Amino acid sequence: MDFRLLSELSVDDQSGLSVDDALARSACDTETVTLRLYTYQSCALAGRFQHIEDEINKVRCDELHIPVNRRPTGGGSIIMGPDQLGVALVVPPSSGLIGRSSATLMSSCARGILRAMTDLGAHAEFRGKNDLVISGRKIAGLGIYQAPGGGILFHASVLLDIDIRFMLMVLRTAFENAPDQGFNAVSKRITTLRDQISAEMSMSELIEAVRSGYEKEFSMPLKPGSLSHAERLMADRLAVGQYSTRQWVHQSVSRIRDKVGRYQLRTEGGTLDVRAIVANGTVKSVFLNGDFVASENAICDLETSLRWHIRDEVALNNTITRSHLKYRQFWDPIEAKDIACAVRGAIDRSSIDADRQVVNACFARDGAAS
Amino acid sequence: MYQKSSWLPADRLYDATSYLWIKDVVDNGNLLVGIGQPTIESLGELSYLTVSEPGTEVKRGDSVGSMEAAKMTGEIVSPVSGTVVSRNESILENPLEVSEDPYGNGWLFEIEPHAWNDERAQLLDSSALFDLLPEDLRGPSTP
Repeated sequence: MDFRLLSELSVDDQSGLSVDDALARSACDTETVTLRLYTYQSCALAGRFQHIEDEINKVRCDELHIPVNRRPTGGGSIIMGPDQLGVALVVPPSSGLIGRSSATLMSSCARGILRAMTDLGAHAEFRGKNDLVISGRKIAGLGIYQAPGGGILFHASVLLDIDIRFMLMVLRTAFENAPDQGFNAVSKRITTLRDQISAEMSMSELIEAVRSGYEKEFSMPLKPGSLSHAERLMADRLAVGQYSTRQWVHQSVSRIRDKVGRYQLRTEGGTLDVRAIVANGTVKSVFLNGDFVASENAICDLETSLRWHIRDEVALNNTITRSHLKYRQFWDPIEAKDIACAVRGAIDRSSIDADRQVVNACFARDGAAS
Repeated sequence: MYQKSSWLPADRLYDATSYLWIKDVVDNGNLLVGIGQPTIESLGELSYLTVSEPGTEVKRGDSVGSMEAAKMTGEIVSPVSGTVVSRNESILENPLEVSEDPYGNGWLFEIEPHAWNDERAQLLDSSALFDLLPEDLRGPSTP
């Protein structure tokens, strides 16, 4: 097995997406694991099954000349630009990683990033379906796509830094008319390497750390390389035939629309104001507000634990109890059963979100809208 | 036909890569295609699902839909060449039906095969797939 490193700065959205996709589709014919580290020119990217009009402010993007596109991977909408590192790890079926349960695949693929953060002095951990967090605050969003042929594309967007106000302008959120409120809510729930390590940290330092992190995890050196002729041809074909087409970007995806529910519960410790985004049998996100007192870490941990959670009462109760136990002293006097009751209430009341009252972006999740 | 695991019914064939199942439809020569239990165990609950419209022609290995599960997104790759005759409209509204009854009401699509005699030889019976699967996806052995 060979280990190849590709790195590029400032690629456009079509090139960024099509090269990742071409690498995954070509992986079945190779014996090469590819790590691609790259940055985008500013763009807004929706997840594979998201409804673009629900997620991205297209009018504002047009005004600001921000391209809009759709990833092959799932999850929420994101902005990418010079301060967000794209990490694409492409693994061929022959690597031995494929065929193992997907339950471990995401965390296995993310280990190089976790190692890089540890080496830099930031202690991140894998949480929920697809998040890397530091003290409960999200620093990277992850996704996995299996291409026809079996090649696996693991993708992460790692925050060296992020312009939250710009993100809230471009993505559709509940804060379109309340930017300060949005800024405060989102900044409590995400963090960046410049917050954690140094305000001076550069993208090249981050790229070097992630390269080194994966080399340590693979116990193999990554050889700097370039696309093969066949990969380049496929990427060009995908850029023209898919990632630049309206059929792909604005496609009518799944019939399932998000539903949003809200429930308020008065408790001894204050009012819990819970909002939930539900897609059929999946609880996509839960947001906690209210006048109760609890640490941001406790709230972030609970919200992260409930992302992409199966809509099953017993499983939800267990998850809430585990998170509550972990931060018990910070929740007191609010009990796990209070939180479970409010979460169930919000889920049970969920209905089609015509006015998009709650944001479900990758890094911009509602936490304070009221 | 010997069934080694309750996750792999012996009355159908399987694709070795995707673990999709393929079954004859009574007497019209068409085939039903669905997602096998090993895939569901591997990917987790399905959140979103698309399947190509009836009338779509596909070759074996072409994408015939896509899905987002708890742990990844991916293409649904057709295990046979042919024309999609119908799709299961119910699972498009409620993908959880696939997880709840993968070998029954959770079927994905019906296809009129174009090269069935050649392509069926590339598929596996349940016993052969069982031997190919990683241990954690084999499911409970049958007595």
